[in-house]
Amino acid sequence: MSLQAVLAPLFVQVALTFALLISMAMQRGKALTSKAVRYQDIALRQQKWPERATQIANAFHNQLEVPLLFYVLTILVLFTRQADLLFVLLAWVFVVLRIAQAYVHVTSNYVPHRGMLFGAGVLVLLAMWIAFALRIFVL
Amino acid sequence: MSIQFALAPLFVQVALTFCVLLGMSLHRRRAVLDKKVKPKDIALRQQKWPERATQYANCYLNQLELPVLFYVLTLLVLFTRQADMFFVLMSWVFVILRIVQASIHVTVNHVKYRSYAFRAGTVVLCVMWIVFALRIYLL
Repeated sequence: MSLQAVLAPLFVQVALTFALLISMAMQRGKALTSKAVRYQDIALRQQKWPERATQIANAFHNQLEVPLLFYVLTILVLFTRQADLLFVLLAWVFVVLRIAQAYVHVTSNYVPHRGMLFGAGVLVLLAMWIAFALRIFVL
Repeated sequence: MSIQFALAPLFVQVALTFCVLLGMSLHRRRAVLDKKVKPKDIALRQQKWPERATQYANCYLNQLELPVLFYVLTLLVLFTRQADMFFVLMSWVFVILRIVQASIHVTVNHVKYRSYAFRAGTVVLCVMWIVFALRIYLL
């Protein structure tokens, strides 16, 4: 697979992260200017932000958790020249599941749906890691 | 650009992370020795640490958030041989803004000024990612 094809899902995951970060910053800015929270309420990371800002902040922080293992895997797959169609397809499935999960997180925030999408994404990523490890050790 | 130039800002960001981690450990240790907190008060990550230790801990957590996307980008830029003067200069700007933000975070902890440094750093990193993606797809 070409470098462009392998990196495309990674770029989309990074774009999702920045989009959530910008949205979080805007919601927090709004909460501060409308005096819904004061600086001293949140200066030490207290959980005092309004619900909407908290939802987006949680969705943002989620992108800094499991997706790290996706970044590391993509870099290793590129470095070892193991990037094939299966890897790119699974990478897209993973990223689309992350977008769906983030969408639920910042809208209805219905935990069972979020949990299913999160679980599905984790399983896909786990399968990608197992396939990569097998290729490194078995092939 | 040589590997030394391309990696220098990354080494400084890693050094910043270790410095803040060390600062956090020293403040937490002192809090336990001074009996300001008991081990069972904080064994489950409760927010019971004194203010100064909390400032360091929050700043340390911050270094494990957005900078991760800086590490991923640096690795990909090196792998694809895209490291040039623009990339290295932008990396330095990003890391210096992170140092400014961290300095505010562990001292006066003025949220407004801290967020200016954070937002500026985020914009710089976002521009770096966009430029990298454009180079991968257009050049």
